[in-house]
Amino acid sequence: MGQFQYRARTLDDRMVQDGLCAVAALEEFPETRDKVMVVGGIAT
Amino acid sequence: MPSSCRRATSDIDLAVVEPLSYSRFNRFASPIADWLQAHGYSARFEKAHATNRLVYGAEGETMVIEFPRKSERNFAKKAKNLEREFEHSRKKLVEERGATYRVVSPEDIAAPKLARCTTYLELDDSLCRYIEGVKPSPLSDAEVRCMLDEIEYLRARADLFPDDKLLATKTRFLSDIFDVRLLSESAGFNERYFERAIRSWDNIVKHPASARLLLNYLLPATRVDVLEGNSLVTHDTKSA
Repeated sequence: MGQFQYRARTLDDRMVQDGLCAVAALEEFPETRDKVMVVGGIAT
Repeated sequence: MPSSCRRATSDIDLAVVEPLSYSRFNRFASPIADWLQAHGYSARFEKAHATNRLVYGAEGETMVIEFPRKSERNFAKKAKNLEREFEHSRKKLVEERGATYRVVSPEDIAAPKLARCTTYLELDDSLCRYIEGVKPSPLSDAEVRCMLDEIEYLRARADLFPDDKLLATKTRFLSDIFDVRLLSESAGFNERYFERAIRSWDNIVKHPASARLLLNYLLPATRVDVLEGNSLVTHDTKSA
């Protein structure tokens, strides 16, 4: 992963929240609206 | 779930209600990459073993958004379950940000974890020691912290010894039983729907003894069962 570092994070982490906001951007487009659900560990 | 009880993870996993080849994924996920780049992150697409990934990062730190990669044929096998999961999903707000995202129900988060644990238990019954130690009454904050510490310890060791498959299995197993237990206590399960969800997973239905063992330890008060005919849950004709 080159210069980047993976780190375990929780739902209140800024980087996770930005990721979820980015996922929410899919709802703005007809071809991707209502197509995606968050699953797995972060959803708990 | 309160922050203190949350298990840390290094990715955001998504389910998608259409088949996604890698090329389709590149187009499908481009609004996510655009949003991230507009907010100061680098973003790139990657083809992983069984998934498509959008890797984003800033200031030397990285996070992954993971998409399933499914052919039309493989998607068709899962389509019915995905439709059911979507029907029971809910929208959640990103705290203090105004954006909303869709998340599967607690029952549909727990069911695949239970299915995976059933498989692990079939392969290695020494894992029983982790569920036998789980007490039936609600977990105290100290007990939650203790489980989280053990998961973090195992995870750190698994990172150090990536070829140790047994260690990886133990880490995943303990993480999954923690998630199921905490979800049942914090969010609660609709028993009718939970029963329906767990019965949609082949490895639960194929290994009822291991699945029941897990259910008994993790959800001691539950009336659900793996197989039809043994349930104490009332089902009407319009099942949950």
